[in-house]
Amino acid sequence: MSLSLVVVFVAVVLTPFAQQDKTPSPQPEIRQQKQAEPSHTATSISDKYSALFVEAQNAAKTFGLSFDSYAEDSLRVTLSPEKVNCLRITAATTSQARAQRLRSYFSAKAGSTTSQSLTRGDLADFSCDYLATDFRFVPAVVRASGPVTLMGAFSNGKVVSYSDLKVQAGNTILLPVVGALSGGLTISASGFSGGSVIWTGSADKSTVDSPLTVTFTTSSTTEGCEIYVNSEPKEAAVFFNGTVWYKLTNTSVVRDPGPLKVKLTIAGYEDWVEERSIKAGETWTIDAKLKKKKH
Amino acid sequence: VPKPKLRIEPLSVVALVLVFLCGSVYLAHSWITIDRGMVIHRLTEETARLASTLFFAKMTAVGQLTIGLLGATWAMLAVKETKISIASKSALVTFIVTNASFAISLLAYNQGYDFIVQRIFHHSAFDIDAPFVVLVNNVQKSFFIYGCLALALTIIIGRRTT
Repeated sequence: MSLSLVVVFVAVVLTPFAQQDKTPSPQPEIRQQKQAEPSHTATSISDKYSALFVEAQNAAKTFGLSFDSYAEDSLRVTLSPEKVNCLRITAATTSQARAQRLRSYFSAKAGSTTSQSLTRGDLADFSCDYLATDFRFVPAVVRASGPVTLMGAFSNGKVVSYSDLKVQAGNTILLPVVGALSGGLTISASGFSGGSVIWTGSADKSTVDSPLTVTFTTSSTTEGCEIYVNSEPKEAAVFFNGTVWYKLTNTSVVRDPGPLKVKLTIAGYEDWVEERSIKAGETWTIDAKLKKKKH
Repeated sequence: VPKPKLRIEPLSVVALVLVFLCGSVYLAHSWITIDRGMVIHRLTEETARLASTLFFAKMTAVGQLTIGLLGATWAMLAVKETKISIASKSALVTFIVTNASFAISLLAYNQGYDFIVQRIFHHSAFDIDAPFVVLVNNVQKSFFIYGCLALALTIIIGRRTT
């Protein structure tokens, strides 16, 4: 009975980083993040893989992927990573992979080169030991209306999925969850500032015995944002959200993230006002040139 | 008919409670509304590093002293052999104010310490003149001193005469 290489599984996670904050910035020196150019990334995996399941998705578009070749010794995947700058591919070996260790975990950066080959030297050790005892494939879809970093998915204190994934506002990712879920599923995230994150867990009841509980917990970040306020002329009074700051320009401040209205006033000059929402870890440099009042 | 004696004890207790309540309300308002911004003085500068070290050392010293005095306050209640008795109503009130003052001082220490450490960790910055840092410092010190006063009053009121 030719039980050749049976399709087992594979998981994929796509982290679409393409969407950037479109908040207008008054500073020309703030760097615009590069958009990934539409390109083709070929990933060659030199090992005996029976199957590779790749799924890439973001809020705007589902990406079509095709396999160039399909063989025991190598596998080549071609994809069009438009608006994608990171693709993670996971491959398993044979049908016995259910009881085996996940073999490889590759990360391909799209847009960097038109063709990229990955070898075993690129193998990253993914937490996959839980496959040895049990296997579950429970995709959870997350939609983030605010930028968030998923710190990890846990069940009974064990890691059951990828960690440290960055999800941009408005994007959706498919999160594969592997491992026994006897203790329910807990997903934690940080960097969450406003908006909401919706998790949807789904599972095949024949494979998941215990009722699945999806809990989303946020751990608020304690990081602030840095603002540098320079003005011409100097020694202007600074107001942050209507509260006067105890230093005159030029000054700097590290403060809590969130919506911020900055007003600069100095006698004989018109007020300078600007408002924007600032995120944790962000830096805002203000170079305000105050206009003289007309008499 | 002899004139009734002016009772200092109840007056002092009432004053103690009033000042404590006013101070607490003012503190709560300040704590909520104060600007938590800090000027970015990088800790790569030796002066900023030294200032933060000394600031934390002083905060910690006051905090440890507060815990010590809080323990001593409860010893008066727990140990029967002391010459202080928390039996009268006045003594009980001053005892409560003492505890509350020390507790607020410790709370300010704890919250302020964490906040400043977070700022240092994420931004390598410390500003000893920042409004929130000044508030934390003042609250910790003020309520520590007030707790000491209340403790002194508790001892005076509660001392056994026999």
